[in-house]
Amino acid sequence: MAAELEVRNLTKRFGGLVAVNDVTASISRGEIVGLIGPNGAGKTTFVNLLTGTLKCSGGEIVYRDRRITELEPHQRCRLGLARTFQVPQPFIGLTVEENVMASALFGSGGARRSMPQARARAREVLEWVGLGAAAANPARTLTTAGLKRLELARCLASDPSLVFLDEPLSGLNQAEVKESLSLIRSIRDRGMTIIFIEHIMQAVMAISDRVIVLANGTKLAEGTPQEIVRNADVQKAYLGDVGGAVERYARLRKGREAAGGR
Amino acid sequence: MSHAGGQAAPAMPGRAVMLRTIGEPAGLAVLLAAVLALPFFAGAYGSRVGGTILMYIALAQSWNLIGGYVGLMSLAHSAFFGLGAMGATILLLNGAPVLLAAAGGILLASVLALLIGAPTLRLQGHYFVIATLIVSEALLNGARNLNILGFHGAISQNIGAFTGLQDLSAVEYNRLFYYIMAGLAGLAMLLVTLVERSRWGLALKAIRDAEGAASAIGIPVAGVKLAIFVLSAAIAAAVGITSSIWLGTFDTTSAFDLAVTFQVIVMVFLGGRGTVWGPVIGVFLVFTLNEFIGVEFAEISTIISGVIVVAIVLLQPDGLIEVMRRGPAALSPRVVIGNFRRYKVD
Repeated sequence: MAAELEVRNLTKRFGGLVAVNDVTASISRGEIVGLIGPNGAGKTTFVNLLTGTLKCSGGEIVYRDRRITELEPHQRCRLGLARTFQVPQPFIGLTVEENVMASALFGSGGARRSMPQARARAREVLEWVGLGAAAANPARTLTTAGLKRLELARCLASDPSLVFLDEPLSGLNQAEVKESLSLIRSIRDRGMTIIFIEHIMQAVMAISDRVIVLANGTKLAEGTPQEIVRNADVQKAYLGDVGGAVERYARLRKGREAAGGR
Repeated sequence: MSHAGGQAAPAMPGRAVMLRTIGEPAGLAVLLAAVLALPFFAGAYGSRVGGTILMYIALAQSWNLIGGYVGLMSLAHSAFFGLGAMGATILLLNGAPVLLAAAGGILLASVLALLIGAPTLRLQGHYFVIATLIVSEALLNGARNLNILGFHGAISQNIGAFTGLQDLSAVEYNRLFYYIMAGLAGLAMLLVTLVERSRWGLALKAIRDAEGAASAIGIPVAGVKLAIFVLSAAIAAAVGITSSIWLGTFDTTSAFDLAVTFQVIVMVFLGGRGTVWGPVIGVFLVFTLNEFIGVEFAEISTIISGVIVVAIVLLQPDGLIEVMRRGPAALSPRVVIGNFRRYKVD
């Protein structure tokens, strides 16, 4: 299968702290890749580097044979990369529909669309994620589950081919988790490649084709969900050596605060 | 129409839609006719007052672009007003024709807006506000100490003799500047309307609400912010140039006066920031307050207008345009208390 994304020796330093350390990975077209790791492992930083929210300190990112390491987030979006945020970032002054319209107008499919076409596209995506009935409501009136869906809708309306989901299930109840999982599968069924960060292991195991484990900023393991649960290093990273982990975590936090609270 | 649109419909009954489609263009036509006809009925004094109101509408709308739509509390507006006027003054003193001088002034302010905006627009929240405050103070002091090409920043410069307009009668003179200000106000209104109706309106509001998310959905945040900052500065400069030529003198301290910025911000906030008509309402409100309170309660006028401004900002944070849009419902105690609670820090 053709490579959708190639990450080579990616590194991010915040002052003295190395949040992402020499990570190399390859994502194939049409895959669902779960990105897991203990708190502070560098998962969100890794995604921020790939989407351009953060500039990397070293390494290279290649998307569909094109080097995108230096590109701004909006340029990467226009090429077909889209993301959701762990903490939803709605445009609170806009309606639900306008939130999604903005993405349909400026994302990778945006240049082709007029305002009415973008509105139609927004409606379509909102129906898809189950927010159709709330289209005309102000975004600030949505519940947590609604905001999560809005994140997803806004991400999808930009017509991406590669989608990053940062903890799409956090804060959801059991029923909502189930619905979201089938939604994520339906994203893949439409031909998109998905990289998602998640803490709910059952969910990760259920829908990932492949799992990448980060710990202390380095790639600890990579493989099918079955291989990962049996991996001794992964078990140790999550469960073993608890004292050391706490100490490392404290160090990490301190370093991050020094680097500007990211 | 999908059921989502159907849901929106009850909030806007058919009669109101009809009133909008027929009433809006008709209302605009009447308003436009009134604005254009006013100088012929109001004489020189009426043209002066009307022109000043139009000047503030242009200023308020140009600030609304950056402050209301993008949510950037720029305090540099009066600096661009002053820079434009100063640039035009220098050119006039050196024999440039009026239109060329005006173009030069706008160019000067735009280039400086570009140079100032590029670094400061990267700052977040309060840091940007402070940076623009420092910039406007620095520019004022720089202008005061400037001595080039016959321009002396420390003293008032008479430019009335260089414009070639001194032969006009008082009525004609004021009427001319009334129409120039009307043109600038109309241009600013048109720009805001175009922004509001296009994809760029969504882009500006998206940047205002969540910059990171805006950039993640493909909006070139830095470029859009800079473009709007420069555009806003260029309009402020054009207004400043018109104002100083109308006055016939350029005085650095009053051209760069921060009070203009604050007055404009108050107007935009009172009327409704990030809307097309809010700033217009705000301008009229402030002028009315100044006329009434300034005359009736001269000694304590600033206290009274201060209290009114604070009350409106606390109780109608979206501006008086909300009252016009939603009618008496916007004044109900439940809504007003709800508005007030939005300020609660949690």
